[in-house]
Amino acid sequence: MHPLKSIFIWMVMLILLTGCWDIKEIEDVGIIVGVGLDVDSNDDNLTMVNQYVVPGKIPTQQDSSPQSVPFQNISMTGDTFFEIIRMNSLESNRPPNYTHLKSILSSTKIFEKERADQVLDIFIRDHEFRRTTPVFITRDPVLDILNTEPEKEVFPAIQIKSLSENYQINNKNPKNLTVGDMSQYISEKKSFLIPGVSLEEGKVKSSGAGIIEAKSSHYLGWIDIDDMEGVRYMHNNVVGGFIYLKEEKLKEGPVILEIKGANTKFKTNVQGDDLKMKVQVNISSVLAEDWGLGRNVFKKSWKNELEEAANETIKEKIERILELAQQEYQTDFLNLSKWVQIHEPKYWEKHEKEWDKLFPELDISVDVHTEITDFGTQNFNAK
Amino acid sequence: MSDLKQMTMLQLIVVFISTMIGIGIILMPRDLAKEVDSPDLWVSIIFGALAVSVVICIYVTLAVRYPGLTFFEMSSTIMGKFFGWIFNFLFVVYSLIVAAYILRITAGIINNYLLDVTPLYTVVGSFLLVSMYLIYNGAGDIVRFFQLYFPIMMFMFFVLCLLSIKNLDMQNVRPVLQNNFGATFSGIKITFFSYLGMEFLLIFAKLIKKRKAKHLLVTMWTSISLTALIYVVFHIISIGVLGVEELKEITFPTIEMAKSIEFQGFFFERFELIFLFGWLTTAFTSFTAYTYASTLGFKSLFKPTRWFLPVAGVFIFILTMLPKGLTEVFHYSTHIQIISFMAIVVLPVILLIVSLFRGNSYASS
Repeated sequence: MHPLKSIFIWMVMLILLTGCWDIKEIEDVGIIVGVGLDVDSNDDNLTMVNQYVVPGKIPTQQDSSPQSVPFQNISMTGDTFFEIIRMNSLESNRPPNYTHLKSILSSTKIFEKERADQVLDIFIRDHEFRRTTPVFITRDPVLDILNTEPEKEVFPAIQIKSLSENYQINNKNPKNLTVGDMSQYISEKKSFLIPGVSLEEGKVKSSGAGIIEAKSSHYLGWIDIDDMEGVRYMHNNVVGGFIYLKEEKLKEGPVILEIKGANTKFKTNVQGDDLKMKVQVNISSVLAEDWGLGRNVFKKSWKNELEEAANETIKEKIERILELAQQEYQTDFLNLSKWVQIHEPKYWEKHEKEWDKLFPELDISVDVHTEITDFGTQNFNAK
Repeated sequence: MSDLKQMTMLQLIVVFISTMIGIGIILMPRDLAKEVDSPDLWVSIIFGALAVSVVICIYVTLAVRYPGLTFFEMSSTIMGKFFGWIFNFLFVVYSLIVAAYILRITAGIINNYLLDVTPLYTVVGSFLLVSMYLIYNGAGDIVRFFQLYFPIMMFMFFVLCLLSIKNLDMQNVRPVLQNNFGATFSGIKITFFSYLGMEFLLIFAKLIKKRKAKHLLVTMWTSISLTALIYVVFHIISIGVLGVEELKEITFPTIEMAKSIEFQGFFFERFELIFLFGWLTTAFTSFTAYTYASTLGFKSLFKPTRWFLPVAGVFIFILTMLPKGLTEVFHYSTHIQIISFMAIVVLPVILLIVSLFRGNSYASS
């Protein structure tokens, strides 16, 4: 090839290959870590809170002098979320970018006013939002929670997400619900629970869950933190936590068992047109703290009493949540229909349409089997 | 020109798998979920593989009777000049349409997930130019390219499978084999077309080394079963991660599945980018194969010149830019399936029947 020719090609390539339509300098991007969804004070418009990162104010190792907070919450009101997002540009010089969104916090009010599937639309449709972003619900004003500066974490939005990751240690914490999970429940037309947070004495706490009903796609009610244990067993996602055995159940004094693992099995039985469900929970635990005096763990059969009490305690909790689901709310937010579908596909095909009517009447028996495998390093306080 | 004159069996298998796996792996979960509507949809893929394995026998019989002839030479030998020309023309149209379809879907995905504001024609144009550059040097280089990227593709699929185990909810895949058989079987009309690419046995005929029926059958069946295996694994993962109801609604289910893989604080926190780069190569390989087939077809239709490659390029570009949006593209896909069926089943069957009647076999030992 002639040298001039090759030089010409080089020049053309330099011009052609350097262009980039999609360039976005990271300095010009307004990174958003949290989104809050609420309705305004008159309950007639949508409010969206965007939590921006203010990079210059993030505390560093050298300079830890107290400054103003490293985030900025822009709360705006409008008819649609996309409109609000674009209206943000009136106030923020850096346009919002949602690829690093860590959590979405919604108020119960917005799901009372609007359908959950409609609210979720933009978060599913837009490719900038990810299916892995967790969603939370709260009964307190969303802006207040997103304004609460956490102590150890830098951003409130990340704090909320981190709290929910403690589900392995505590069985009262609800497990994460991502945008993707939510979309799956909605397209399967099933009721579900959104993990809740609340503001207590100026501190953000993980607490309970909010129920979204399938048909109306609206907020139905709240599950309190004390009832969450039963939910976790029914969702079969208990990996850790504790069982508190009250004094009434044991004569020596209260005992705490640490859960090492749990497994819930669902069995169904169809006779004619009658469906029966059996919930079998197996828990493996160790003795964590003993307030009773005189228990000798070297003596055989010390466990029997404790295991018996634990079975009863867990059974009560599960029956309590089943009562809430079947009697109070009459909604299958525990997703029991899934097990019917898996185990009795023929029955499900026939009764899928009338499940809402059948569920409150469903005969569910609970059977708990607790096993204590260990007692710790010392036979302390023994007789 | 390339120095590659003969392909071994392994190279053939690589070529077939690379052409078969393309956009099907991205789009099929949705179509199949709509059609079968149960977690058993992966069974339909196996049915599809069985159906294709039968169709393969036609190609192998043709390839054995006319060793070393491509589809285009074969058709004029069997059908005579005029009908042969029509057959070739139809096949060229088919290749062009399929190439354009692959390109449009790929460009749509690039625009959706990677390059948001880059105009469509730039994405389509650059993709097309790179492919034409590869074809310029002939079949040998195409095969070499396929061979080079095949391990990378397989590695990408393997990594995706491994990483998605964490998100897998096997309850979504249950109940297994409880769906009514008819619905599962009807999925065959979708899965059958995910094996498009096996007709390249007749396109790459000149380069095939071992031309005995036994070898060809073994090669084809191996590539079909490997492809089926990859499809089945991917579909089970897709159902496990997203659920059947969700699959029906997501535009590109497999990419969303890759997108839901996230490792906090890990180097690959966003896995879908890496998956997309791996997948783009597979789309590129299928696209290149069809563009090559169309240029080869052009050569048999008209007096050969050097300009057939750019002509095919221009046709593909126009066809690609024709639909207004993805909705139209998805709408066309049913028509494309009919055209594909004509081109890869009806035409070879007619060829085989006529050739059996005329009995002018070239078969040598």
